[in-house]
Amino acid sequence: MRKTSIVLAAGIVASLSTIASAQSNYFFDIRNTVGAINTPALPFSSTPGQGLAWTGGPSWPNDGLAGGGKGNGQILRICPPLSNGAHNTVAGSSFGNSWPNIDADNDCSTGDLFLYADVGADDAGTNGVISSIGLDIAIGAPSTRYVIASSAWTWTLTDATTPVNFGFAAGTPQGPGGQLGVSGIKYVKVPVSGASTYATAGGLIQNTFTQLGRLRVTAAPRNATGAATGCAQVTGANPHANQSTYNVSMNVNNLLITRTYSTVTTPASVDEIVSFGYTGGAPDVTTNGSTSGPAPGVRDAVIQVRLKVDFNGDGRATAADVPAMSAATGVAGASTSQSTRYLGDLNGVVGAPAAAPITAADIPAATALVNAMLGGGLCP
Amino acid sequence: MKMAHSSMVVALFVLATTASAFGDVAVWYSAVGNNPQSGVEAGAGPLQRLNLTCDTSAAAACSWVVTMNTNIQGGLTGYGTNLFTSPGNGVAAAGAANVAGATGNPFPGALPGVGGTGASLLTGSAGFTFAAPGTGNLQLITFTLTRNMNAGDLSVASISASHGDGDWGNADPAFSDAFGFDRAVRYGPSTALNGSAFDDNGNLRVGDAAVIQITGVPEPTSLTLLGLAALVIGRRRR
Repeated sequence: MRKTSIVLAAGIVASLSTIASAQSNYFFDIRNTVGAINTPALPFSSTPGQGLAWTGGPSWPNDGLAGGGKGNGQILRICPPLSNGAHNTVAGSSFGNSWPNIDADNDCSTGDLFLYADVGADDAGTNGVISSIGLDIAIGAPSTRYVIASSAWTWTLTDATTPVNFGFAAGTPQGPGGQLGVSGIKYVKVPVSGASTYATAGGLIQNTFTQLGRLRVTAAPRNATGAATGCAQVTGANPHANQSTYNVSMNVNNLLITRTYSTVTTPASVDEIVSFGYTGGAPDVTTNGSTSGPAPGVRDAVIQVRLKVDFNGDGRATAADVPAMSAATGVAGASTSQSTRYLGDLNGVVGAPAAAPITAADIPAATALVNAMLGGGLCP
Repeated sequence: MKMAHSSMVVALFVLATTASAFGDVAVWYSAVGNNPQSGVEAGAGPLQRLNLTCDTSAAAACSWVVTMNTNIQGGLTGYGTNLFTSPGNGVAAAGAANVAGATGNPFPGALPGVGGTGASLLTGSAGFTFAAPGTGNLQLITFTLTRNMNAGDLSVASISASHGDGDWGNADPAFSDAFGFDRAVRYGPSTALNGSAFDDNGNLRVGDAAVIQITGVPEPTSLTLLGLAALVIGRRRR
């Protein structure tokens, strides 16, 4: 039924309009609203643009203070549940209350990457509107350390306008349970009203910055890949945390990404030119929305599965993390990076944005977590 | 024998000097016998093995109260240690307890561990702290060590140490140490271990030398008789 709708709508798009060149950027951010990105609050600074360009290696997930603009929330951190359930009982409250907890589900093992579209005006025609979005989202191959158990896509773009010549699909998991991402994500909406009259309000997106949907990922328990690998303690140049970090990348699928117009002024420009993600504060290199297949450029987001308190990234919360946790305690919000806030904020109580997000009130939960590891052998 | 003893003293001095240079955490064991047949050789300390003797003529098992000691110059945020020995050698541990009242002990809530035999002689001794880290010499735990031996059994039982669940955390990453976040740890005369509990393959890190050795010895009466026999033989030769 859904597939039929998509095919039908795509057919209407093709018959009604001419596709022209344009520019739109699609990027992930852990912040859940356009407002949160346009008016960033700590731990995002007011500096626009991504603070750190990724050129390889582990530097991005272990970020410093990032900027606050578009593309600065491309790192999602989620925690692997402990097999003895201690992550839900530490100090009487779950880690789910701790930062980022943007999904408000009281569980730090799940998190969302929200997908935004930043669509610019295009002088190739008038009344241009994005009418179809077809995406595949890939997550890097599973590691033998902490792994992603599943991922799922949900469209948040609404269809309140009429007429409702639209169709959408949430895609199908790539790999078991979606641990490798979701493919076949599709949405098409035709800018028409009444008897096939062109109406921009009927389209998907017109020259604006809006949220499209979310990729929800869930971390597997820390013993999911066994004692000798998942629960192992890995130090050195490529520690456990780096081996539990996954690249997320998007590409155009066979629905394509297209823009339609009521009147075309530059017929020669028929394709929507798109880019995925930001790098170094600017949209990543472009690709053609009319061509499906792998997109060029760097990764579009990062998912790191990491235990709270594991400051040294060796895969366990231990006495070796105490100095870093202590050093982060009482530091003002403006000087606390996203990664430090994730690792050290266990109670989710941050007070005013500029207040220290990690305080003495977080120490009991951190203590309980380390104690849970002490008494649980290798794989709690 | 005298020569060997001198060599050992020199070797220990070299080890002690090296440990000081790297700021390693030293772990050693001391003991007090619970009965006359349970002997303790003098001299056990940092970088040394504790040598115990068990008079096999006695009807009762040999028994000692053993204390785990550390010297943690540079500060320590946590520890974790297990003890193991060969199965079926008559050695057992029980009654582990924290030395919570010891001066300067920063780990009052630590887990003392669970006694047993063989590969699980003493497991799960671990603690950590967010409080001001300790320095200097500490007594961490005590436990009762026993050995059952048959009359005339002069065999040697060796006990070794591995890390337990907890890391030997570095209180100050800036402190000169071979392993950064973790302290370098020496169990008895063992070479230094990375203080992170597990290696990359999920195995506990193990010390490479025994920390306690129990040796069966003849009872004093037998020794006296042997001495007399030697004396008689010597006189006859003259």
